[in-house]
Amino acid sequence: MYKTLIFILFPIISLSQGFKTVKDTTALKQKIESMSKSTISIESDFTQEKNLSMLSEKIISKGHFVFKKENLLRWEYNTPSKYLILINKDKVIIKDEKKTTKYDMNSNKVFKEINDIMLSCVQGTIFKSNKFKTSYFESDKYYKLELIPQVKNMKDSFKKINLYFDKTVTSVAKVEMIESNEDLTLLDFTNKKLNAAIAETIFIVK
Amino acid sequence: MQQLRKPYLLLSSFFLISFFVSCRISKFKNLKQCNRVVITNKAFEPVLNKTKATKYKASIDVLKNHLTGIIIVKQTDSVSTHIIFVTEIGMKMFDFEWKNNGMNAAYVFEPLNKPTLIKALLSNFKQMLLLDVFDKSAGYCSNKKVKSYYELEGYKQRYIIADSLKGIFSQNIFNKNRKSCFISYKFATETNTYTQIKCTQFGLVKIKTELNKIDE
Repeated sequence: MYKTLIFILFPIISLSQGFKTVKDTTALKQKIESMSKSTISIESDFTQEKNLSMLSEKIISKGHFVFKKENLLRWEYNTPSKYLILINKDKVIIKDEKKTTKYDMNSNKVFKEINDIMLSCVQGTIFKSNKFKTSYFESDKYYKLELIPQVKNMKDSFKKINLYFDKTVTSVAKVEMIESNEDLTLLDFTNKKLNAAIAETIFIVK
Repeated sequence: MQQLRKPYLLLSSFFLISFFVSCRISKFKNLKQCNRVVITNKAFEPVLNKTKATKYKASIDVLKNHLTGIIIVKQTDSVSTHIIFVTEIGMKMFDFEWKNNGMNAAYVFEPLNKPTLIKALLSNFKQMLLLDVFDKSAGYCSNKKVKSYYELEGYKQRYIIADSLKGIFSQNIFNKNRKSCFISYKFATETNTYTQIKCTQFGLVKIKTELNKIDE
């Protein structure tokens, strides 16, 4: 009954937030596909806002990220903590204020999962994953892809992931991750540079 | 001469360690004076702010794992306080709830959910944040080595070295005369807040926790 109610109310809720269902989803998918293919690199600042529903509290972190095809990602937090995640093909390096730790992606399922989500969110290709059921919405400003997890591990972590693209579909504008307990993580990207030349040395920690 | 050096070194190390350990235990023995008191916030400043959330940069080293992130401590109503640990990328690791004088795990990230570990972490955070200290009876004692300290009643060997103006300096918790946990505090008198809390849990599950307050 509860699920049916959500199913009925879902489009109404989306409409009330200024979003309506996309009619031509094939065209939108092609636009995202073409965006993803033509994007060789992305550089952007980001603001991460974690909303803890239980405490009505926010944790705001800011940083910078650089992505380069294939599978190179430098995700760096500057406030409130210095924290760096480097993905260099199948290697993950995490450097915090005290310690640098190296992981092999193939030997760590959790990192493999996080890596897949991070890279596919940044590139906007997450909707192609069979781990999610995707619905497509639009407003005057954004296209919104609502991704509902279909596999158990994912369902345990997330209730829904919303991916926002600007209407020209040049890059991902923001990402919302809603957990089962209604905690929300919002990533907002600003000062984006697409396809600028990026040296591969920035993806190496000595 | 060379042959003598090794046994001599071993023997001296043994005496040095024995002296050091016994010193730590005896630090709170041989009471000169001890008065029974009830601990209130006049004795020393509480860690918990009852009106707003406190955020800390946190690092927890346990079982070869190094976890970092942000810890939020917030009193949600008159009887409940939540301690939530979120990693830098926004993943919630745990949500501990202090309610009706008991500490429970409301949520634990599955890979971290090991009963012995969670039990130790629940105990560490309860002690670090002084959740089980106020309105409790204690001996307010002094001896030759420590000018003044509190010996908590209801615990076998739990000692708090504190000052009414400078806050808590340390907590020393022993189990069968062996130190099981040591917690140190840095207190800022200008803001009346604890800027750093460091906890070392000894024994089978060794845990090192460091909290550094985030100023907002």
